Amino acid sequence: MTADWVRQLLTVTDVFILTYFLLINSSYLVLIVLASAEFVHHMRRVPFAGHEETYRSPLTQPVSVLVPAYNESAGIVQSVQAMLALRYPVFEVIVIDDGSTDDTFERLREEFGLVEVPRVVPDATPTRGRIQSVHVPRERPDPLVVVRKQNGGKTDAVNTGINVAQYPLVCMVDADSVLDPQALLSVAKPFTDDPIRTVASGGVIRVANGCTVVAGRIVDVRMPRNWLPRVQVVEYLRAFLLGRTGWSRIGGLLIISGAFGIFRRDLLVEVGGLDHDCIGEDAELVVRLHRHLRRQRRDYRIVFVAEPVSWSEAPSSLKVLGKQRRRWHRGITEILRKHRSMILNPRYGRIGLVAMPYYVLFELLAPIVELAGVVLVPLGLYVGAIDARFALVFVAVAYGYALLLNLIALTVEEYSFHRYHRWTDLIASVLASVLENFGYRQLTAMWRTMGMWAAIKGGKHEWGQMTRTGFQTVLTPEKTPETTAGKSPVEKAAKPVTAKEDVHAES
Amino acid sequence: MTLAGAALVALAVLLVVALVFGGLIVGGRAVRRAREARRAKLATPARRLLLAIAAGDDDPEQVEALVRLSDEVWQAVEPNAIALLGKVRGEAHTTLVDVFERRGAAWRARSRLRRRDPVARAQAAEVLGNLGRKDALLPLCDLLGDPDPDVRVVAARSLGRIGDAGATQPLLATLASRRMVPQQVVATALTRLGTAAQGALLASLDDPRAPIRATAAEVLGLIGAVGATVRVESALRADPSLDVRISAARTLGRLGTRTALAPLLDSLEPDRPVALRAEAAKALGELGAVTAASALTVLLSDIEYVVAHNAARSLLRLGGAGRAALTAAEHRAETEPDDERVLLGAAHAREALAAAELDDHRRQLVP
Repeated sequence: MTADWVRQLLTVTDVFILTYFLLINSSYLVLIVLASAEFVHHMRRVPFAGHEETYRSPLTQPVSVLVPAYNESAGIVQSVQAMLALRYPVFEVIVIDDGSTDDTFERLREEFGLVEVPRVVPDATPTRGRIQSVHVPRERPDPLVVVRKQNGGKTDAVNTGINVAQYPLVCMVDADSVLDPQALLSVAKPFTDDPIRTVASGGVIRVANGCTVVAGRIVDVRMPRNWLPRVQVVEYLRAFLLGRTGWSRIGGLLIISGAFGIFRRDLLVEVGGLDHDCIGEDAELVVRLHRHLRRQRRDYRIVFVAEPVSWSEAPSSLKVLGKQRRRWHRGITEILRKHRSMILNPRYGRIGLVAMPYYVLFELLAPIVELAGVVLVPLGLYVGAIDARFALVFVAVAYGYALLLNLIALTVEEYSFHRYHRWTDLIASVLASVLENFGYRQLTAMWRTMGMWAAIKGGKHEWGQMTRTGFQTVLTPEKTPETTAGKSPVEKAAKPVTAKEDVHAES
Repeated sequence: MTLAGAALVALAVLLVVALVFGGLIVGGRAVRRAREARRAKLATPARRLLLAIAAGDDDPEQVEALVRLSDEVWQAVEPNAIALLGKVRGEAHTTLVDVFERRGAAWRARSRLRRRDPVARAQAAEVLGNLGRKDALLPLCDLLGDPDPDVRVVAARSLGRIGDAGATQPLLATLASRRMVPQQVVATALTRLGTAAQGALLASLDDPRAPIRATAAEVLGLIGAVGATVRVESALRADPSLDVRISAARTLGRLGTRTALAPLLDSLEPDRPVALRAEAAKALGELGAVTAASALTVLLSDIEYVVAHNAARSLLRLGGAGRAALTAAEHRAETEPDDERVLLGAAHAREALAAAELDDHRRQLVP
């Protein structure tokens, strides 16, 4: 016989879980409504968005596109070609080869005829992996810079890119991302519309699996063939596109994906670049920007724009998906722990009072409650703590409501951007919405819990020793007997060589 | 209500709402597709006429055919027509404007300028700008104070497209207004007004509001107002606002007048703000005055990266003398290898010389 107190405890717990699901799903509904309002606002203004004026204006702020790459041999050339073809008045593409062990660099060197050049790189943000050499195209006037450095992780590569960047805006893009041609113009638009207050702008990430890519451009959008990425299409739509747009609408955006986000370079330097010791470095950067700017009482905006799209490949195996979700949730846990003093702190306005408490309640703790629901509700039913009617209500609130939210998200997509135009895509989306609630959610909850546990355990990240010298790194191609005999710098640098070690000059 | 009742109601509500949204998705898609297909069908012949006009064919019959299109067909093709209006120039633009005018677009747009819907107001302002209606100057200037920021931006852009210098003062005034228009939008619009705006821009350099002075200084450079050099020089020397001084330095570089040498050199002094020194170093390169070479050479070893970098690039633009100075700075590293400042200067020089060699190499490849 189960003791009464156990039954009572289970009853109370199950009621709590039910209430939690009701609240979390209702919060998603609120975000979807906010996002819908934003979409209506945005779509009605597209005809006079002024992209053409921005493109032609001599005053449009130039952008440095940073592309950290590690073993991206397969797609790096196509990706860089597509980025060089982006529609924007003045920009440069900086590929940071983070010590790739494959032929990433060789592929670039062959395609673009790269030649090593001497370069002075300011030590504006902290880096760990030393820059080995900097390369530019020898014959083509492409605004491309390729930096080779010792492996130090994505954060280190991005920080190196920030240091190398020449322009006031920096756009972070994943090496395997495919950008819409107008993407840079659109994501930079907030900087034109509100140049004084805008400090960062994030673009939406969509799933590239199943789409047809020609010459680095998405030419045909369709649902992936496998069910795992299909479910992620729906998830990205609800959580990323609608969720982040909703948060942006109320000025509470905490995450800009490192796969596609644009920032003011001077501010990145001011806050010390990306944090080497945090796994969710992109989200951490945004939270740190909020913290920094709120402390200084500066009037600023961090926004999310739904129109420009960066297409990324979503994991198509459970193993990779599990790894991704563990990393993401470990990142969220670390960020919330690092910036815990902001939570419920009125000094940080709606970030401290609304956004961060929400993330603690409905992002950080969600997987635990999800798993608790999976275990405790059937258990409660089994021991008689709850009856079948309660279980039915639970299923309706936890899963039926969530399914409904997916349908609403699909409706919003259909009436706004309608990127997936086939009827078969629509059927696949609806089925994926159902599937997400049965198996996928529970699996991701387990991985997310594991990620949180990893963060609590506090395993140290292996990032190597950081050096913050306040020096400028001077990169000089190695001197050979020929160079002293009067060969030109271009000729001197024709063969890529490693820069001399420890050549620093005080800044 | 009992729990069982609640469960049944919840499930029923979910089912109904799911069906409603399912119907909305399917119905919405079906309607959209049908509408798109119908529009495409309607627009195809008219689009051919539009493209012919855009290609420079001003056959009166074709123009007449466009003017006489039914409202339904015109609505289908109007987005293409508006897009073309913003892209084509010269005769084709004039012909297209004539089509819009004769279809009553200007009249309709003017009547919509006071609509409650901000999108309607912005669209109307956009149309008037595209048509270049000078008689719309005053209402568009009024819209610069519109409560909706998007309407203000579109009005400013449209004023730029109309190109009447009478818009100079109202455009500048928005920079210091509570309902402001972004500086880049205003400056771009002012640039399109051309030299006719020079007088008003010069006068604005005395405005007590710094954003107006900074933008005026910037635009004077973009429109090539050489006659404004003296006044811009004094702004660089004495303006209390750093933004204004930076804009003035940039403008003096763009104008390229030799008299700007002294104030620009003065702006390089170590006690000046870094941003100003960097801009002045860059401007000296655009000026192309060989006499600036020695000052720029000193800057090569400046501890501020952007100052040294700009100085190196500017030396390149001075021609032979600048390159000689860079080469000398590069070689100094061999004679003074322990001096970190010398090493830094040599590194900047080396970087600039390598970039120049690459440019030369690429130029040689061009047939």
